[in-house]
Amino acid sequence: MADRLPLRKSEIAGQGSVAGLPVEEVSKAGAWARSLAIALFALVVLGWSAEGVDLRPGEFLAGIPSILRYISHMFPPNFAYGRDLARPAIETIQIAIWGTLLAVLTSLPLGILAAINVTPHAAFYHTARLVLNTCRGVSELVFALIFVAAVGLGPFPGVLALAVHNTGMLGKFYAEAIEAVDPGPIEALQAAGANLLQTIALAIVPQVLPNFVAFNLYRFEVSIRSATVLGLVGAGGIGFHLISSIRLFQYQDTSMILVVVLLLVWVTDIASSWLRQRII
Amino acid sequence: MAHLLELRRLRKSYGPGTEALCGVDLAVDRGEFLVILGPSGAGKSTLMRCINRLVVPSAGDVVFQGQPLEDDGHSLRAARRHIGMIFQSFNLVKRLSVLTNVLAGRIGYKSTLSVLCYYFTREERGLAMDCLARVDLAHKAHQRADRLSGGEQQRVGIARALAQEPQLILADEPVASLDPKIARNVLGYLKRINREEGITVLCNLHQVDYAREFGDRVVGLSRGHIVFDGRACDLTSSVLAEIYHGGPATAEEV
Ligand SMILES: Nc1ncnc2c1ncn2[C@@H]1O[C@H](COP(=O)(O)OP(=O)(O)O)[C@@H](O)[C@H]1O
Ligand SMILES: [Mg+2]
Repeated sequence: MADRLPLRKSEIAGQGSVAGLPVEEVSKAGAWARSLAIALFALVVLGWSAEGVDLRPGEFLAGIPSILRYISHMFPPNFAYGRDLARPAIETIQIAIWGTLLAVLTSLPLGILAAINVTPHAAFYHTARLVLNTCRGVSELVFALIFVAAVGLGPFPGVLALAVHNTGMLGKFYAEAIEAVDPGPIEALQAAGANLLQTIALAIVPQVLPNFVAFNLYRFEVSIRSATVLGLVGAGGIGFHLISSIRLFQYQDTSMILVVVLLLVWVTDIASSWLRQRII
Repeated sequence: MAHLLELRRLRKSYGPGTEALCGVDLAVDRGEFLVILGPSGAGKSTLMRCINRLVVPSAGDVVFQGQPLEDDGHSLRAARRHIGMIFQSFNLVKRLSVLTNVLAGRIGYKSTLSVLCYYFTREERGLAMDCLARVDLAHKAHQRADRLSGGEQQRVGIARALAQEPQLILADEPVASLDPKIARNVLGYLKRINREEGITVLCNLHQVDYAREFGDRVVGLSRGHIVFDGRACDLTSSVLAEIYHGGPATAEEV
């Protein structure tokens, strides 16, 4: 399909006119009609979705005062509560560390198998893609529910949930990065007698390494954010305290937890951008 | 004495109606500098790639050092390590050092594990430095490959091929992306290696000037057929017309 398109265009250009109109005008009119059709379709989808979610701007506006009241109850944050939050905050970081690291280990082989230019066989390729899409398509919260049921409450099911979801994200990214490498060096090493693993080590790894490191760091940042809510389903971290404070109407505790979450995210962003600059 | 390389009725078709090689017979002796001359699309790259089986021929045999090349991994690897290849786009690993790129030429001799660890022996490093010296680039050994100019990168490509201690070097349009002065310089290195070390070189070119200047023997390729096989000085204008515009009658009729 994709390689037929330019051919068709040049055929039209070669004829000079279609239905008596100059080529320029035909393609302009065609472009207009297409834009109009796309705009109409977008409007229909938007209206249909608004209907589906019961979009009621009026009630939102009417609700603004009570939202403000809720927020005002949160001030000032209960800073004294911060001491109790140190341990769950650290646990949140620990969950993210292992949830990312385990995923790096599992997604490396999967990513290699899912890259069309290095996979040893089409069967591996399709299987790896299927596994990665499943891991990626299901939210870490859903995996957390499953692992809590399987191994019990605590941070460990949280680690497993993050690891599985991250495997899908990292593996797909690895595969795409591998598929985008310059094929020249691969060919050169194969011509010199390299086997598959040697080719990967010497021709592909140097090309993809900076991207891999950057993406691992990015997934770690995202994992910190995810780990702050895993506690909602009993999978460890600061989220457990968040949900209990909300349920008990401890507004000032809730805001203190949000402060800690923001701090966590902020500190990891700084740390990982520092690392990124060092490594790449 | 047997030929170093023999192609017997070699054919390659990329699909119905795209016959890139139409039954090529060719024998190459040790020490030759053979230029394969032909316009773009004649099948020069395909011919070269069929020799080291980067492209699998549709029919016919490639006999290297008396052994027919087969697709089983072990014997193919053994043959490939003796055949160096040089590419139009150099095909260096840009982020690695010049020296590591040359060491990569040893890959066909090394265990998988040692390559995974980027482990190279003192002897291998010495050999790689020696190969760089042969293309006058020893002083650039520790630079990143993409810091070098085009001509220098291609000389690294030559050094990488030399590191294989090859019996045969295949050069696929090695100077097509270089300007004429640099191109002559690079071809000069290939020629010197051929003369002084006796390494057989097969070199694809599409410019007649270079073929006349550097080739001993020239093979003219047109639409997958060999239409000329002789000395460079016998490249007359009628021969060139056949290589560049004609092709044999059978090809005309299609
Ligand atoms: N991978 C491929 N798939 C399909 N056709 C190809 C492929 N490679 C080369 N060809 C075709 O085979 C013919 C010979 O190509 P090639 O060997 O690259 O010639 P040259 O190197 O002399 O320019 C051309 O018609 C080209 O379009
Ligand atoms: Mg070519």
